[in-house]
Amino acid sequence: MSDLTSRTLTPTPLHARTAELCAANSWTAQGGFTIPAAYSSEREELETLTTRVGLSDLSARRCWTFEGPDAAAFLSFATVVDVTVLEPGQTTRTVWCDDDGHVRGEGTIVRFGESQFELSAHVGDFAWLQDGVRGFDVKIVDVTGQRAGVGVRGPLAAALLAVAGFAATPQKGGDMMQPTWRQAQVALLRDASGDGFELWTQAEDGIVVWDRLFRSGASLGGAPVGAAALETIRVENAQPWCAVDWLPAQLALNDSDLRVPQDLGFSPNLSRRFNGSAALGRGAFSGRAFQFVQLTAPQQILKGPLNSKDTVVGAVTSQVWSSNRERSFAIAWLRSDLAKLGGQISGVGIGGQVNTDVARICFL
Amino acid sequence: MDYEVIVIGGGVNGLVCATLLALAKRRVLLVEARDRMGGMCATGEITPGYRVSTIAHLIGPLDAEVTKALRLNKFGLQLSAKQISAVALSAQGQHIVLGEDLRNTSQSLMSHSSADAKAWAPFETKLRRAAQQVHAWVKSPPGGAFDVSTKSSFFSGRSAARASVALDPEWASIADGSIAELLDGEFSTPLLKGALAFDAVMGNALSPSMLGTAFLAVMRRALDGANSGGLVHPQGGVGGFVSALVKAAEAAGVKFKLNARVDHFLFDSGRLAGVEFTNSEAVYAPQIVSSLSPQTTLLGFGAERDLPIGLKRRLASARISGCVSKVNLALSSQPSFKGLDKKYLKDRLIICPSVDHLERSFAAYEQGRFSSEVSMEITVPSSHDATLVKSGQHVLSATVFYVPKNLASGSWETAKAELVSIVGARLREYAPELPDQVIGADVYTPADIDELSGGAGGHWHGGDLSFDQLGILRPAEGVSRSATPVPGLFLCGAGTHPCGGVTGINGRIAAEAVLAHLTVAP
Repeated sequence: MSDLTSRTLTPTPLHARTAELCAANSWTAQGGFTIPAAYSSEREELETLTTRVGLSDLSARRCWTFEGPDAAAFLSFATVVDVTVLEPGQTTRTVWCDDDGHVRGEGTIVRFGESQFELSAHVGDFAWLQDGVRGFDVKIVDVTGQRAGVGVRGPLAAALLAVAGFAATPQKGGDMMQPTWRQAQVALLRDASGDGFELWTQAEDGIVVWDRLFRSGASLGGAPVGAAALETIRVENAQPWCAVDWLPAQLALNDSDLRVPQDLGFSPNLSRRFNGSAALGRGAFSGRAFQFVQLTAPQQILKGPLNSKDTVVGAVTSQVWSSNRERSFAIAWLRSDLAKLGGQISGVGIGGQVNTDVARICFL
Repeated sequence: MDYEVIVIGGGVNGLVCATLLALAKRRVLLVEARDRMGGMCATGEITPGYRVSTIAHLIGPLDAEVTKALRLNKFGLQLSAKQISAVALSAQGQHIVLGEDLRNTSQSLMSHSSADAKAWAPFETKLRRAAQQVHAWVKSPPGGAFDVSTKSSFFSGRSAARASVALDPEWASIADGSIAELLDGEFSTPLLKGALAFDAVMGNALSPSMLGTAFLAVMRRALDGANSGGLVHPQGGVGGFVSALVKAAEAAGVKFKLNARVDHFLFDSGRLAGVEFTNSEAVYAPQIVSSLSPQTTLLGFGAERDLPIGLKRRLASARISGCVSKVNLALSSQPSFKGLDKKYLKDRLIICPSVDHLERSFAAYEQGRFSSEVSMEITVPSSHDATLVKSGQHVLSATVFYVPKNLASGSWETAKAELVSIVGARLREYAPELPDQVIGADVYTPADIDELSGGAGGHWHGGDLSFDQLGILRPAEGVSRSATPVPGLFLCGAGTHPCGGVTGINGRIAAEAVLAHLTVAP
């Protein structure tokens, strides 16, 4: 029985602290790990994120290291971005495709050194990448769960880091620094949207880093925030997620679920050779048929089809009710010709049809 | 460059491909890692004076277009036996002869079951009719013929390829199923069903109850029907056939390089440029055809960086592990099988009493063991070929089925003797005096065959002939038409369409692909 119990919950390296703090005892699964859905209440945590600073456990994110003379060459072949031009300390968002040019995954690549990279992603694809390294002098290791990640987010995020002793922080979204922070080696990233920071360290240093940040945030009204509040912020900020708002090719059930990099806002150089480039060059992408948009409405929007003139023109894939802004927000696929700011689309709401506004055109 | 095409591997398909290209006036070099040509087709000595085909022991059915183009009889090919039937051996001496002549087989079945005897002709006729529907598919590149616009395409299968694979609905539904189920619906004689099931699945790590194995019975007949001459015994063993092939290749202008083991491909500005051998020598040509396994060719010689990741994955996960052993016996005198007329010693003698025997044997195989009930295909080539042994002496060649390459426990060093002992005991049931006639034995385990064939699994057919590894999926989706994603690199070995066996089809299809490529990019 104890075996079964221990298998049902895979703790992150920060579990000892998050469990202590999770008064609501509300948990959720993410990437095979168990993390708090809410520590107190989603509403309180949203307020923390929008007015002060929230700490979150990011350790469930998939993380793979690439090390060896061909690490840059391999990642430049496996993904659509040429990482050979990255300098150590730089990061880039990327997607990777199957042989037919359909996107299998998305993530962030960090270059730590001449031949050292890390790729983090929300959805696992380690086996596929591992199969790809054949012929390249590179070692790929799945370090998921061996890294502790702490998200620091909110208007006082930079202030918290200053209180915690960081003399400088990355200025632009995607930038990274590797300071030695009071004997702990950390990677400090400004997240892609620029709204917050991520601190990554070895699992064994995770608790120390969390405790320091937690103590430093106390005077600023900082508090832990769970997955539910972060999900609301994600949808409010119009950030589509792999396997939530779009399906990776290996999970797609029909052709209409397949996406090419251009659908997700990437414009790879097709004269460069990468996996799927040949298929893309042959015309797998012939104009974007659908576009990610953010919809908003004063009423609740539900997941489901979007209609225009009695025709289905898209689908809502994520939706939240923002108690702070008293509106609902949704991420949706919408036919490209209708994806115009301010445009009105009819969606499904509680009790029937709801009119929504196109608030944002969004990419990964 | 010195050559237009380098062909790697001097097996039958490599030789056929090289010769056809040379006949099309291309400058061809054939490189072979060993000191002789032939690959799995060779004649060797068990003990001094006792010669036998070491691995493959029959040739054919040869591709009709290859036969026509190579004219091997002009280069010394002589047959010691042809029109070879299968004989399902009975331990009680009530054998069943399965030959071309439907009436003879029916008569042979009468002593077992009059109902089966009556059912035989309609069944076999239906099977042959179904086979006719896949003739074109078997002999043509999957997906249709190459656009060979050269006027010298004397071996183009274009017209044949226009016929699509479309089985009658009745047969399509049967072919989807298992050979065991198909036979259970038609016959009651265990010996008949055992032999037919054996012939369908032989060489594959597939049990007769697996879906898709009924199609293999159709495919086997399609190969017979599409090609010429059926199975034959060449004089001097299969090595005699290889000698003729080599002479035909030389006459066509193919150059040879023996003892030349390829280490890696050479690239010039990203384009394929030649091969470097393990002794650091190199030869150059912009086109390379490999008769080695697709896995060795694409994943072992430095081309893998250019391959799509999904293709690497599919190649690496293909089921290509061998499950056949070869046991060759030197005999002091002619073997005598209970109740078997000596005239049948030229035929294929099958030991497989029932489908259940195959199933049990497969169950042992799955667990990394070989059963004491192994099934066998036996030939006694010395009964019709005096060049193999001195008068009165004999050799027996047996392919032993469902023998794992990797044993669950122990090693092949010690297990070889056990396998010979099991084969001997099995033979004693059918030919009581035979084990006492043995004066020497050679055993080739699947691991040995793997090593001899270049270390890519040692599969009898170059990979299981299951629906997920046939046609456009053979050897893997993306490389099924001989050409590979590496421009200028082609495949022609047993792992390609349609299957293994000594047919020459794979080599001919690859030659067509190369010529089509050269027509577009001379």
